[in-house]
Amino acid sequence: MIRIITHNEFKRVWYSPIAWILFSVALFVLGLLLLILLNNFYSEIQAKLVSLERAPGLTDLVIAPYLFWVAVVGVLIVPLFAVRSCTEERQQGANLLLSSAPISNIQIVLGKFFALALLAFIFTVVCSLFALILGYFTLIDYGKIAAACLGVFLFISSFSAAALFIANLTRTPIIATAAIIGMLLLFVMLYMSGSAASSRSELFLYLSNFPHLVDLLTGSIDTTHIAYFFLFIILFLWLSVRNLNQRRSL
Amino acid sequence: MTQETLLSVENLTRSFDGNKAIHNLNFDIHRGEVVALLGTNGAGKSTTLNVITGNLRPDTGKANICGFDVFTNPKQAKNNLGFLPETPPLYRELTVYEYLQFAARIHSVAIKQVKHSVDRVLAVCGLNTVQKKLIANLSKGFQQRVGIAQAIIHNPALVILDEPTIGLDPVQMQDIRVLLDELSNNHSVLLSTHMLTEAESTCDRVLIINQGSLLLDQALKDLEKSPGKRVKLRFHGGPSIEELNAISGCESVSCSQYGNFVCRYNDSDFIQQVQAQSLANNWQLYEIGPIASSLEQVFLDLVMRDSTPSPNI
Repeated sequence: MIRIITHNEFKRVWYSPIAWILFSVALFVLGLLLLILLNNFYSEIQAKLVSLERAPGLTDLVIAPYLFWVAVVGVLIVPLFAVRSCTEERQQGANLLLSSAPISNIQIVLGKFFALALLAFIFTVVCSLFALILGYFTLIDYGKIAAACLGVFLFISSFSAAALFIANLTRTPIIATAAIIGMLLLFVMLYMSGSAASSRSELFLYLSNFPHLVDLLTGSIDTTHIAYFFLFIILFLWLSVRNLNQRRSL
Repeated sequence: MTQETLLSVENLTRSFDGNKAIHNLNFDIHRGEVVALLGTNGAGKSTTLNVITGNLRPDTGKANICGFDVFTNPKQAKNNLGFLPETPPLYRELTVYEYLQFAARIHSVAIKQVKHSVDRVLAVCGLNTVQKKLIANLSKGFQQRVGIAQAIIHNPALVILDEPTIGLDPVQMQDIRVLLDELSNNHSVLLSTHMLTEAESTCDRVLIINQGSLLLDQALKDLEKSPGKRVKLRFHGGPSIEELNAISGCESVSCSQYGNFVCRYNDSDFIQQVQAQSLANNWQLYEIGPIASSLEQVFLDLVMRDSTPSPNI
């Protein structure tokens, strides 16, 4: 049943021109960004690296920053489809199709989340292909790139789970969108505040998704980061199921 | 012979912010019945249906569908239920065929049976010509048909329809009524409406609800048997009340200050007799017309009586 809901949600995303426009713009912007990073590497950074022992390579100085931006653009786009999947559906009364069918709320939430995660996966794979093309011309560290891509995928998926919860709270798309952007900014603030010299806080850093992503972008697959993302996803999916259950009692 | 009970509602109560939307509802629906849930706007019809379909949790009481409690055994209960809410739950970006395929799959129709089920409801609901169209591009009448099609895609024993003709033009309404007639051949139907003609033309039994309480649960044929059809008569010449009372079949006569007579009668020949007497006695009858159907009378009597505040308040 989860697979059926995921398939339908995923299909509905691509039936809308919004998805094609958003992803086209994102790919264009990220392509330009990679070009700028490459140009900067060849014209300025490469010459300075010659004198260094064990100098970082193209993977660390171009691909990792590029994938960081893939993650940032990804969390600006993919969670917005949670609004379409939940808030708009509720606004139009279409949610009653699923809630009146012999399906549990857990299946509904998981079906919708996996559709967003699939979207995050495809976005990550397509964007990383840009970077992998560089491997045809020079040596790149595929292991590091795989770790970074895993980080990007988990990062976007975790925000998608949180967005799914927020999108279930309201039936007004604009409020849901504003709340999702607000949540993103909150996590950015946690990261900035936690990493600032004057107010350094390990707790803030741990709570924010960004430091966990940054570590994975360096190529180190730390199970604490993987566990963090999984716990983050499970927490918000559980809250979404609770919200759907409670809606029947309101 | 005992009839199989498909829906059993017991002591159902649901409040919103302390206001009781439905209060202590009790009724059953048996196999093969088409039942109308009648009430004015805000009477509690949609709340009742949302509780029965598991979309709202009741404060007290329970609803069983085919013997399964909607809240303790939701999957088994909902497998036997098809529901069309007030606003059809449609994915407007899908085509009719794709949408019905999805509806079939989430209602546990086996993959091999999906095509057969979709083809069946397309034919039953008259959607064959629009099956490849996007739902967003369909008229409201066709969207309503798609909503009904999703409710019967898994061939449920009980179909619940919440105001299926609301917002439709007269032609579309007539089409939906014909469709409801066809549905009643294979399903038990609970139909919520505030249109009495719709209930009279399609249903076997009526439930009248007002301010959340059930006021009447009676078979339509028993209501029709009840004496007291009414007709309005206007004459240029004019008989006396006694003369009209003397016509056979006449139960009572009243006369308004404008000279309109209202006769309550129980004989189907009464109208012909009035016309004949009018010609014979030169009463110059120039207007004759029914005042209200018996269901409308009952409905108005019950609702008006129930809504009248108590003098003690």
